[in-house]
Amino acid sequence: MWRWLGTEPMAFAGVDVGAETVKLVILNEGEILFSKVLATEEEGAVASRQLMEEGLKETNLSMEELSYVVSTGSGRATVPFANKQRSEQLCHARGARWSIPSAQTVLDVGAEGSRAMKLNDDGKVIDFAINSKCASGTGTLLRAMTKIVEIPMEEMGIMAANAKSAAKISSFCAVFAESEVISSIHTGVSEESIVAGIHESVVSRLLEVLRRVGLVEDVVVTGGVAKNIGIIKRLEPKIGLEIKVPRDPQTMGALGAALMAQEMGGGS
Amino acid sequence: MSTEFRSWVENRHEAVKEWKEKNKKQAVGYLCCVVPEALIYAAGALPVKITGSGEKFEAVDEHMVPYGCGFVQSCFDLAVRGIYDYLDTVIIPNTCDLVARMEYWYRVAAPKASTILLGLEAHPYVFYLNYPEKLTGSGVHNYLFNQFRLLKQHIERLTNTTITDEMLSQALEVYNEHFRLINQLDELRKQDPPLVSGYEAWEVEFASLLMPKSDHNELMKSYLEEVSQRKDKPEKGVRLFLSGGSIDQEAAGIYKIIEESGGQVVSEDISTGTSYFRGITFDTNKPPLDACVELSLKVPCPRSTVDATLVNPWPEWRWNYIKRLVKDRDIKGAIIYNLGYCECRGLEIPHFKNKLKEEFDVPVLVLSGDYTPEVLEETRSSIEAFVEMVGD
Repeated sequence: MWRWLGTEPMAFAGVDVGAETVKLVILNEGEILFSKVLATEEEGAVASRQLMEEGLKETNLSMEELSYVVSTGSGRATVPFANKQRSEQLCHARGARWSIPSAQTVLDVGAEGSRAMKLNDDGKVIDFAINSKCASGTGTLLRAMTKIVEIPMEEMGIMAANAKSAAKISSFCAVFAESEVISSIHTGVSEESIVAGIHESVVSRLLEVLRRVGLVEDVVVTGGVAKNIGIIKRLEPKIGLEIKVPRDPQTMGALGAALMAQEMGGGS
Repeated sequence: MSTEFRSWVENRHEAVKEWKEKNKKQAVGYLCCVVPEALIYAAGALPVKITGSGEKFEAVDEHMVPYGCGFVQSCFDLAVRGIYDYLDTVIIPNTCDLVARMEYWYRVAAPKASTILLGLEAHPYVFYLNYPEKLTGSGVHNYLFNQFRLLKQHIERLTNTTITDEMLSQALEVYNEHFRLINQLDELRKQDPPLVSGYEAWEVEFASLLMPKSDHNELMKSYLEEVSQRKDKPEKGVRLFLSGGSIDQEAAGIYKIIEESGGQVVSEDISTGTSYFRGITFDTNKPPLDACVELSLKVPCPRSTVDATLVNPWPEWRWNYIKRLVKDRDIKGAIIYNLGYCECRGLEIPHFKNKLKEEFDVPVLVLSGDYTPEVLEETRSSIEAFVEMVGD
């Protein structure tokens, strides 16, 4: 567009390099031109470059036409073409607030960690809490459990959302939780109850993180686990509030990074 | 100039051994801030603060449970492995449950030969300093005075010296000068940007826990002169207050992580260095041992408490001290770095977190460590996010 007008390039990108996926959002004048999640086992530098090449091709842009790039996520330092790195906390909060302007509390649940952010009325993060040391309360635990119960993630989420009862998976350790699930299978506990119990155990860890920052409406959940309806439906009654999930929750970190790139790069 | 301080910090065991060899005098190891270092100094011996290391434990597991303070475990591991064998005696105060038991563990796992007379040790290697739990009350001064008197005798026997009032008074003058010089250094950190970085100030202070105070004082005078003429100031950074326990040469990595994340520690409440002695000095008008007792009872260590009937009971007593450290620093946030299983500090965190928010309107990041470099490194992402958040 700017090439026709003869103006300076004003596209911005945010890259979120997580444990299992890389996410890219390309923005122009506040409009999302490209947004994609790439599941990869490649290292961050390779995967982010691969996704960026795809994004540029799709948007018919060149790297030079990107004014500013911000990277985030646990692998943010590996992105070779980023102008700046920003934390997951700030990026997810920014992305969530842009998508749902009423967001006051943002819970990001990714593959390897979960974090809660409290926002003030201006959308600025004023407090956060993280759960990064243990796999419980993360997508990694859920993924590990899909292999044990042999049910795909999406199906497991629906099953957990509709379950009438939940087996008690009490352990706060992902490895021990696995033993408890196997034990429940052997003692004949229903599949539905076990799956609900797995989700309850993740929810209990998420509650800890949320309580540390305090709950203020609206609560928005982002990250890949936000797509799991079982987690959302089991978390809502625990916090006594309706949870809002953005249309594409997994890309909120990358979106937030792109919005910051726009701000830092002098975009509107 | 700071390289001389650094040399003591980085080569602390070798530096003390060299000092002993050169001066033909004793080195006295001690734990915690309540031990009257000046008594040791007065006898001509070198007071040496015992600290841990980042190395994996080799000998501690068979004596301690794994869920104990990593700092104390590390100090003990080094003792059992003989790393601290150059110390001629060690003083163990009862400053927390684990430290108090170091007396027993030292005797069992790191025994040192001692002369036995009538079935008793004529001069035990380990001295147990029974420091009062509550620092207020009519009998507390006399009680601690008696403890210090016993310690004085212990040091006198070790060094074969009689510590006269004159010798102790001279030592207190040296220590008062040390407090004055450290306060000057601290003043430089009030400026924006500070004239010295948080890590550099920590390193300069920490060296004073290893080297003789008189030598440290002399170096400090030239160092402060050099700093005042420096052209290269440290990175401006987001101004932060740090509260932590045993921030020794291993745990001080948190200063580096904060600085690498764009922050700058401009004041701290830590149990190493002299932050507990900010604004207090020995009263040289008093008999010197009484002055030692008075100063020791003013140390605002979180393991102690004060009479609940006073106007400022615990934890307000500690909070008043924190307030003095924070005011005039223009901090944008506070980081509380608590070593796991340190209930002394852990118990006051909720109170301080609320107070820092209420009275100074700053966000607080609470971090937990286990004294290992690996877990310290895990705090980096939270610190980066926090610095971004408060600097935003």
